Amino acid sequence: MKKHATAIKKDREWQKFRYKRNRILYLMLLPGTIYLIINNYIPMAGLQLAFKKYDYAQGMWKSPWAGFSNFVYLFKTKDAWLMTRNTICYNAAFIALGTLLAVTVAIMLNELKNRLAKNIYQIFILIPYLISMVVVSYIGYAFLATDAGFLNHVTGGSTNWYGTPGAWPFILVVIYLWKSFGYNSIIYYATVIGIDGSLYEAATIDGATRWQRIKHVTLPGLKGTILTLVLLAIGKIFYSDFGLFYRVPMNSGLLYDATMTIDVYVYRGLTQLNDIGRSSAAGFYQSMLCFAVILTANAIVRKIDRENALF
Amino acid sequence: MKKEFLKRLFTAGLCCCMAAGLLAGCGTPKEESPSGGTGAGAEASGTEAGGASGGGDAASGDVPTVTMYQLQFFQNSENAVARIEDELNKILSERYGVRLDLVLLSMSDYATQTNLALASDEVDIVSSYSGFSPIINMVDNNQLIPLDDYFNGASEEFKSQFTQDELAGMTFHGNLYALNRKYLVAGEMRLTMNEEIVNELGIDVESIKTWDEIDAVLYQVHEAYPEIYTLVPQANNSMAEGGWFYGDILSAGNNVVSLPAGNTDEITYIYENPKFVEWCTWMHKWYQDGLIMQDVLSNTTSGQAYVTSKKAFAYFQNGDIYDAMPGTVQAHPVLSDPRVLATGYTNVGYAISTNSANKDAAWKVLEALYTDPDVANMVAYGIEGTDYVVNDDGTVSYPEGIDADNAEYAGVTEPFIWPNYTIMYPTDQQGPDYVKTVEEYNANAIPSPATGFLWDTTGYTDQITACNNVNEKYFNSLLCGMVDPEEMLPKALEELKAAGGEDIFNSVSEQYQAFLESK
Repeated sequence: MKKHATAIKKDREWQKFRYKRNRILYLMLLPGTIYLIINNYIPMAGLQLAFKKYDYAQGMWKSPWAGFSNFVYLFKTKDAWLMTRNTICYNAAFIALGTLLAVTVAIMLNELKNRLAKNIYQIFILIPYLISMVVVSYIGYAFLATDAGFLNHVTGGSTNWYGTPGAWPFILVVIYLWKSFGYNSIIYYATVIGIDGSLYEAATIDGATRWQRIKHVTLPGLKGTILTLVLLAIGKIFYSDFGLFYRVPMNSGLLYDATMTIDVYVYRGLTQLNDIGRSSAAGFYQSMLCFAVILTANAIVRKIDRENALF
Repeated sequence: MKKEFLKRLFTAGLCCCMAAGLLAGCGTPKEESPSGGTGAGAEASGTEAGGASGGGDAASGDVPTVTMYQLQFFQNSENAVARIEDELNKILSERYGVRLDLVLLSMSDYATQTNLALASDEVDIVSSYSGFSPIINMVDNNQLIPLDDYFNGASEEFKSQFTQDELAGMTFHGNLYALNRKYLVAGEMRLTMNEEIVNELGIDVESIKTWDEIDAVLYQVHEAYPEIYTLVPQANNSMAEGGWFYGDILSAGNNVVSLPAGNTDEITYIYENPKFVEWCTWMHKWYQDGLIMQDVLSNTTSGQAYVTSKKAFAYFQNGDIYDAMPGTVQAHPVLSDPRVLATGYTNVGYAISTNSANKDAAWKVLEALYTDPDVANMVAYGIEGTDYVVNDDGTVSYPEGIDADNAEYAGVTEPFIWPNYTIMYPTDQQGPDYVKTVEEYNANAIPSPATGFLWDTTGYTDQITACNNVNEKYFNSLLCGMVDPEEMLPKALEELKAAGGEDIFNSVSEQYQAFLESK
């Protein structure tokens, strides 16, 4: 008994010592924690707005409850299916092709031996990521305009791209990939350069070709990062990049069937109504679906490969 | 050891800086930002008087400060607004016991900023605009207070400023919610053309009145100048700005139910409005023949810029009594005589926020803006001698060497954003007899039978949201002529009905009948 009490005391002392020793590290954690609480947790009280008829005179807490009535408009018309389908399909394409492209570029960067070229390429592939969507929309316009666009000029055609909805799934995917692959590539590249160099050396001694080294050393080394990033992307599968779907098509109504995602629909529908309840309901709906999807995806990953699951 | 201590101190200092930076983002309550420099208004991209002037400096004592959000079309400089506010507050505090904190916001920011500010006491006076911040939505959301008690208790001089139509236009559910901006209510469709081309081809501008006459002129120009656009939108993809040709929209600014122009009491869906169909049919013909720019839906350049630079020949303009801009000539009225739409008296209004902490003071500011020429002129044009000069004929101009492009305060270019033109100097462009001219123009215009009618949208938000999305797809595409109306109009109508347009139509129809009977 006495032995047990001593053990507990020792344990507490050890904990105290550990706390004392790491107190600067804990202090460093503080700003991040405060940020999370202020930015991510306190606003959660606003979730109730999705279930209220917001009254500006009463404020958030006193506005009357409205049940699920704020959600009805999201499902009322045939657009409900269209916007959900578009949101998911575009995101699925972005995740699949985006990952493929980013991983490929990361591996190619790793295979480059010239240090200067490597740095220059990294900068160049990152630039599109830093450009605002409004600017991207005008770059797109320079390519796609009917009269003066680069594409029609080169092909000698006179296609009205902003009136051809069929082309937009491709255009939007290409623009997304162009804009985002640099950033993701650099994340993957950071993982690739962290892979133990002796593995490559051993593989080379064993007579592995470059492709075999990539297949058996680089890709398995990247698996964890790929899974994490894909899982995080899946967690946002019901959200869409508003700038991409609203700005880049230059407000052309004819493209609406191809560019309508949940965010765009909500914006177009509610922009004049100032309806806080319905806007919150849309956000709530997206969050809940994403939450369910990421739980499922993570459960699947955990079952197959416990180590690489997010939680 | 010392090094270790310094390292720790540095780390701790960094942590504190990060934490402080975080908290700085949380903003400060209005009362604690005396100059308005860090208030929400200043965070907006608009122009806010900051620095030494602002709302409630030490000299203000107990004088309440009223914050007013106002739309601006030109970017006025912060210094100029601060300077004008200083002078204005001398008059306001002396005569009315209030001070004004003016926040000027550009059109792209106005609706969002106002909407956020209305949720707290950041703003006292706001204005409503039928195009992007309609008053009926503000009333439905309980964002504004009824003004009846204030209005009934006001002086006769103040009350006499408003006509019955103007008061009726801002009355909802039996209460007055805003004061109408006193201005032109009538308008007409005009065809604004490049002057050089008109002269070169010897086009008789006076003879252009009907569709056939417009058609003939456009083809004549297209043949002579195939390299330029013959017809472009007035702004962005808006080909028929103002709706003067096809008539009234009765569904509270949502393009669902219309009352076709002309003497009719029969309401229709917008896509069945014969005038609307006629417009779309002509536009599609011209679009197909290459007279209208091909990427019209993605256009972001104004018609005026195209026409004055001779990149295009003409655009249909939402016109009133102003003259044409230099380098252009206008055929007018084209397609119909000037008319007053049902929304004529609900377009722009000035109202008090439901969360205002200074409602009485806000009303005093409104009274001053509507009745005190010194206040009205200063807020609109700035300081005499610096921002404007008064000419011998009683009009105002920019001082020598200043124009709309380099003015610190572009009041002379945008007098129409302020509440009461009748007590302000007219600008040199408006002319000395401006007030009389406007009165005559308004009086001679064809009044809409629906003047004073505003659909009560309560309970129809779901349908409005869905219909807005359908219209995003079809409305401008049809008006710009990009799609074939024969094929698309039935499709658009079908989708509109399916999206809840039928419910809206029935409700508008019922309320409109009751309105006609009560007249």
